[in-house]
Amino acid sequence: MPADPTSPRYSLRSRLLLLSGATFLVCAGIILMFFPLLNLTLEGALEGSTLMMEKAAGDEADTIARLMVLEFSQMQEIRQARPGEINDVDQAIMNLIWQKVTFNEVIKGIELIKGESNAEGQRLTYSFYRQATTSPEPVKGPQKAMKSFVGSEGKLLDQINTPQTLERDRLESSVYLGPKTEGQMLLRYLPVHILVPDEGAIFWGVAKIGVDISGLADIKNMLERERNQLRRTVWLAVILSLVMAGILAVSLLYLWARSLTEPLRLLSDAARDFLTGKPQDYDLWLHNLKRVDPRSQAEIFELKESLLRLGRAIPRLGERLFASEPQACLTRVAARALPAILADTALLQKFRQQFRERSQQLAQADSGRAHPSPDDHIEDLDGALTRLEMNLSDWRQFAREPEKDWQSVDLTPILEQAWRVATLGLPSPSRLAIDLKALPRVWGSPGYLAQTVLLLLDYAAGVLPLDGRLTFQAGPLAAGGLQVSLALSKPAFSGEDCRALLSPPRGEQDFTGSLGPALAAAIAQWHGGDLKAQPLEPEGLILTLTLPPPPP
Amino acid sequence: MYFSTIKIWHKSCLALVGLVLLLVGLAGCGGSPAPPSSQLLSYTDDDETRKLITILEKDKRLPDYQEFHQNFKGLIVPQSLLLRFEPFVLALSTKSKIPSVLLLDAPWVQRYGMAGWLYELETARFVSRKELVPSVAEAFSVVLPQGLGEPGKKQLVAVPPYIKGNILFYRRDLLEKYGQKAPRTWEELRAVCALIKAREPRIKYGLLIHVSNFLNDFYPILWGYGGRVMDGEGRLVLEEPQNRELARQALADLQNMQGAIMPGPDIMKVFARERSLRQSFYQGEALFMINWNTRTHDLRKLISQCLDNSGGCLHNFSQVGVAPIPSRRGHGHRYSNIGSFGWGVNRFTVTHDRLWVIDLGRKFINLVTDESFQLLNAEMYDHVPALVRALGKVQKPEVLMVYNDAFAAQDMVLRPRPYNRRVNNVLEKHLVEVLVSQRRPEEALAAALKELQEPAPLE
Repeated sequence: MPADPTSPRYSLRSRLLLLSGATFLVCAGIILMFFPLLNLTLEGALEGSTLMMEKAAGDEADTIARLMVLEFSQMQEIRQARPGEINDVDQAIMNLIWQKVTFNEVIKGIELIKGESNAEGQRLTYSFYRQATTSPEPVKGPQKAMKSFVGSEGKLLDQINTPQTLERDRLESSVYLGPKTEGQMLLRYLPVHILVPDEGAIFWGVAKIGVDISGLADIKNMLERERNQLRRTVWLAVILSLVMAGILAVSLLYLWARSLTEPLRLLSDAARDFLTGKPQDYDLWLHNLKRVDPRSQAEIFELKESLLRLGRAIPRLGERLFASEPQACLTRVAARALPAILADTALLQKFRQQFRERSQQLAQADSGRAHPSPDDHIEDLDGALTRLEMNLSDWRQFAREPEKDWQSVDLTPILEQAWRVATLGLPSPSRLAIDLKALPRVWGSPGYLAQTVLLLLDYAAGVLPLDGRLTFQAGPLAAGGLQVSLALSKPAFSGEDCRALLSPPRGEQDFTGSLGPALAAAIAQWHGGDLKAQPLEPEGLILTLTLPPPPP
Repeated sequence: MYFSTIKIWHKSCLALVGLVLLLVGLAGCGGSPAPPSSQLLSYTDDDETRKLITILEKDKRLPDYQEFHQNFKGLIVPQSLLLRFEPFVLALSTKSKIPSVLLLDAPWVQRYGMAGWLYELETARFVSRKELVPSVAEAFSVVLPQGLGEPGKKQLVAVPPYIKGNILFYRRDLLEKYGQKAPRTWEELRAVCALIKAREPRIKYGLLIHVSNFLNDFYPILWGYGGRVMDGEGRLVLEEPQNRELARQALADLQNMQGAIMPGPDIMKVFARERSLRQSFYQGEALFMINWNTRTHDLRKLISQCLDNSGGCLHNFSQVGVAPIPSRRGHGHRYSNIGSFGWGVNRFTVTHDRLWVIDLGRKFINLVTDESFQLLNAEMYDHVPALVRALGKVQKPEVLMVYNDAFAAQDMVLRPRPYNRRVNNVLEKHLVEVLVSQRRPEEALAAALKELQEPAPLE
């Protein structure tokens, strides 16, 4: 249960909006999951294209290199190639290499490396690489040199010399790229066999052929750019779609949630007024409750009807309570006063018995012995009769139907009567004090005002302990009107007790207290006054009833 | 009511998650790979195979051969290029995918196999070594280069459809007439020759061997002496003293047989003509002849054309017997220079995106080495089947005789000649002079070795 269940953050509308937002975020997250997937698919597709292009370029390089080697295989004079000065054989070989490299833009360079090496590990090599077109230097012709191989290329040549074939896998890890950097040139090493009549294909050496792949690099760069562009576009489209969808969804959800929860909110507001409203606002509260429009929501309609039914029943119950509480009050007062009345009755019976005995004694007396004076008994009898009459008169005053018509009322006799009725039968008359000053008249219902005072005194008499002191005072106010105060020296009261005393019973706890002060407060408010209850230090309670002056 | 609502909400959530996962799964599946554009297997065509396939397809209407030309594309190699230049070396050394399946002479199989150009056949289930005659399977097996096969172990790289090798033909009728058996050693052969030649005036020569392509006949003779020209790894070992001496002895023995048993130098040149050996043997002039086993077909053809045998020519093939070429006394084996061609698969044609080549290659090799194919080959050309199960079904007596009496001999070894053409050419050029010019064997060997030791292209 939240600390403050009435906080707006716990309202149904807030929760609906929160859940809607969370649902949208979940959906957005799921939608965003597709973006990496799309990105991967895009990556895979473009990667596949790149691989296909690389494979095609590799196959093309293989084909070109193979064509070169097939042509070299027809070059019989290459068998006569020897180290030393350049002769006609060398010139023919170098011319052929120059033609192949110069007239084919796709070939960047060729090296013909004789497989046979001298004692120093040097191999006869013919090489020619086309330089970059931006170079201002004239292109040098093919070179004939004795090339000494060390490292990976030497191993590669040995590998090729042994099985006389090309192993791509071995190449990938051991290739020496020569004077050109990778990316500009794809190198192919192929064994060169010379076709000799009746001897077949005789292994001669290795051809190192560089194929230009700058076009492939350009295409790969372009593809990379397009891929990045496509990725950004897709990302932007997804984000924009989500933002627009989010704004639209939140707007619509807010409107829908607001529209759906509006009747409940109105009903809730109306119901909340019941807690804070005053009794005189009850009709207005009921009216507001009737005005709540359920907007065809069955739940709201049922809640409203239930509240209305309760609302209509509460005034009648209040009236019944209001009517019965004074009776209950009188009953309680009577219960306390009954011993005093019975005592007066017993006194009268005693006097009757004494009177009967005295009559018998008078009839039998014949001598002048001394007897009690009859006047003493008559005085006691008069006193008892007077008290009995006064008590019954007071009783009749409060037991009859109260005068409901409003009029100018003098409260002094009412206060005195109420004091007598309420305090009759209390065990410690010496702890009771009354101080009534000259009071101005007030405007109201005499009967209800009398009930108000009686209800307060009845409550005080009910809670007053044996050793407690009760002080009843009344006097005019400087600003007009009057004030009646009722002070109890015991028991102890807290501020919460005082507030509960004047409020109608609420909550789920059992109510066992008196309704008197609450009814008295309601009657005081009805008459434009008020009733306050305040604890006294160290113990006790003071109830203060204030009534306004009559209207001019 | 409240809990049922929660359950419905949970079910809805689960359904939503399931739908999302399904969509994600479907999105990640992707399309199936595109089918290969063309699946047509290229192979080296030859007249003999083409003729046999046509018969099996059209005459015998075997269902397996009906779609042969739809799946396989023959590659006709110019004879001028094939015989003189061996163009497949250029193709395979540059990793060409064409042709996918090659019909290779036994020495070529050795060369290509050791270079790593041929696909190993047993692991890929093209054929099982057990289906072949063991000596043939051994002849077509090589040790593959490192990384391509099990180190040090010979692996089958080609499948021959028949067995071809040079063997010793002899006059069965005359040997039986004089109570002689087919000789196992050269000493026995010389003794038989001396015995019969003296009693049969029609017999002019005890033994005939080829003068052209002399080396084909000389190799099994040399092997029978225990000598080698090249070792199993392709290195020249003839220059080693032991081999050189054995070669000299073999040559000297042949030279010594000239005149008494073999034709003399002058007459020897006559036999350089094509078909001269079989003609002379057919005409009853020779007691023994070293020739390819497939000459049975030619001899039968000559015999069938002979209408009058008054001149002493053969009139019935039963007069002919076959045996392995003799070896030197004390040597444990007799040898035949295997001349079979075998079907091998180009290793570079099998790539990860061309695995269909394996299936089609397997199908092709099964068809051109099939039992029915080999039986038809035996029927038409006297070719001895290389498949064990085909041999069990051969009906032709001439073929059975060649297999049982020659190739199936316990001490028979089929061995290919060295694959180095230069070595063969140089040896052929110098050694044949021992027979035709009476050159001393040691001189001929020295001249050959000297030429081979000169700087030359590596191989």
